[in-house]
Amino acid sequence: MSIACFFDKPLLKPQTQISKSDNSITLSYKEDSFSITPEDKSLESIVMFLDSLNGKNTITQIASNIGYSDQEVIEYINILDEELLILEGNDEFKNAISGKNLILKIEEYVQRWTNQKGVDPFNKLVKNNEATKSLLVGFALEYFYVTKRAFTTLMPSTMFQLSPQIKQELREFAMEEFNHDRIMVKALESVGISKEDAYNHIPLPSTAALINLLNFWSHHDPLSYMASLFIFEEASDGNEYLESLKMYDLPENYIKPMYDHSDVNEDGDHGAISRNLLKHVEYVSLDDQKRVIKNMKLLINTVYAFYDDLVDKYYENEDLPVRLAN
Amino acid sequence: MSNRNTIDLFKCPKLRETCTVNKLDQSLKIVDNFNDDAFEVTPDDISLENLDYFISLLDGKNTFQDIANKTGIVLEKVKEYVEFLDRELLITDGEFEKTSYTSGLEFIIDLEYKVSNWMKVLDSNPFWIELKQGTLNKNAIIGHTIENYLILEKEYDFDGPIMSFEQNSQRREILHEFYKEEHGHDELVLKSLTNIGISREDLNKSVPLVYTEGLCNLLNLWSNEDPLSFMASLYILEGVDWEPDTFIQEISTKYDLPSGFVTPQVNHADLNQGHGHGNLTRHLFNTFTLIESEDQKRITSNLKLLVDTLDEFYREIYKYYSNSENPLLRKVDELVEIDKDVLTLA
Repeated sequence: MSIACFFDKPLLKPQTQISKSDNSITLSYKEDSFSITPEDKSLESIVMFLDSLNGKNTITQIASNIGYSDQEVIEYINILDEELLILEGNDEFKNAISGKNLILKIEEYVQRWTNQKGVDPFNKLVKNNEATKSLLVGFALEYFYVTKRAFTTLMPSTMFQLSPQIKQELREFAMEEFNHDRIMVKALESVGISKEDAYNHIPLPSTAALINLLNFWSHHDPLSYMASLFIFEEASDGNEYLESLKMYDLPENYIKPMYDHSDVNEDGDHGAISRNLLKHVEYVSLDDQKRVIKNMKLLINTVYAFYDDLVDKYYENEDLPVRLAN
Repeated sequence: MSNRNTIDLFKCPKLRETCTVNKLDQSLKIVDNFNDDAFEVTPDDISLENLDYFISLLDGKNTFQDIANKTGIVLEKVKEYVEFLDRELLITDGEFEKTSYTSGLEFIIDLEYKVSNWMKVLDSNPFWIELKQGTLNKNAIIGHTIENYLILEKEYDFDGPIMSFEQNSQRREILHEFYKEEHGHDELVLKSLTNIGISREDLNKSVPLVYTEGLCNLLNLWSNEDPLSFMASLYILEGVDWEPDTFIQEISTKYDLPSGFVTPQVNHADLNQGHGHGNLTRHLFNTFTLIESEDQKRITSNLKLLVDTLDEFYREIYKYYSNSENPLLRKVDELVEIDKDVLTLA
């Protein structure tokens, strides 16, 4: 039966001293030492074997260099590994990139994806002064749901075991988002939705899908969480959207809370949040990059599904759009 | 006087059952038999009879206002006397015994009734209408299996968290059993897909549809933050009488599909049926003595959202996969790009 080897390119720990006597070889590493007295191999070939453990050779290369079989090489490496004398030499991170380059890459992709998709139907209607009142109120209601969820959605991320600078940023970000629901609920009250109904409103599945992506990452995926924040912030802080609200016959109390909420976000420079977090990440492995890219693609798809859904569900809805379960 | 200022928390004040009241000449002696404590109350502004009557009304069935009305003592005085007794830790509250609460089982059975009504929305969902008519595009059937696999693959993420804080031994056992039984189901359904040439690697490079992920993340949210809603949702996804059995039955009788595609899914449905996962929710809720009304409201709203999301899930599958211009898998080109970059660097 063949024996498995844990190592790709075994490396004898660099500080190991090798001393040779007549019939044995002694390896000393810090306070430990280990003697080899070969029975069926020459001392010379053992020395060659040890020299080849330089972290650059595979098992097969070592075997052919010194004339052992692969299985013999593995067996000897496993003996040295028992003594904790071996490291993995195949330890290059050439596929990893910095956190800064990750977010720069994501920014490029996000721009590409949004260009491919074009302007969403919701923002198109709003900016062309073609939105109905029910659409605008529906949007506010869904947006309110997101702000209501902010507290429990953001808090788990503050417990990520990351560098102190990142933890600090995450805490500050979370605290700045606290209680925005109290601002936003005023907008809803100004168009006749009671506070109680606003808080009990059942969101659209697309709204839930959007905020729950962030919720999952906040619990379990720090990189995706940090990378996604700028997308959430940009989606919610369109000044163009706010400007265009002036074209509509809406109560001042509806518009003002929207501005108040946006001001808080602008002051905190939340669009840069992803850069400010990821710049502290030293490196990101290829697998992690792939996962984050996939997640951001899904996020952009979900943002567009959300806007489609808003128009689909609220554009022609004359009645107040609150949904409650009885 | 106690300065705890919590007197208004009491709804129906109740003298501890360990206390007995002895009427003496000028005073009442309250004996606490639990800690052998006793003290006398000598009334100066009401009659001894009225004080005795007042104490007898502290039976957990009367509100402060009831006591005031019955004894003629003003409300503020009633509270003051009760507060005095509370300072001696002789008062508890009887509201619980007075109010009728909803048991876990009662709640969940009522909720099932509501859910079955909401689920009628699927009767007008084009996916289900066409599936049953035998006219559904085959890609939509394959698409359903793809999305189903993507859910099962993510299921470990949402079956796990709830167990980390479920301390009730009965519920823990049910959830552990469930976790074990669900383990590996993704591989079963994956066989269906690999048998028709869709590989694990290609699936890994693709994103699920928006509402597939939306469905998973509802469960993720509840498993992490709202165990009651998670437990309530299980029976819907684990095959009540409409799914996945209906789906399997329809695709094996009305459509000409390769057996390598159908058989693993039949096996999966049989396995679920055998485990009786459709009954899990009832068994879990049966362990709750009562469900508070605020919890009831929240769970009910959440299950409505789940049904709405399921409706969107099937609509999206129908819309996306019935369109022959759409590829079966939504591969992310940038993942191919990044692999190429790595090759160039190396």
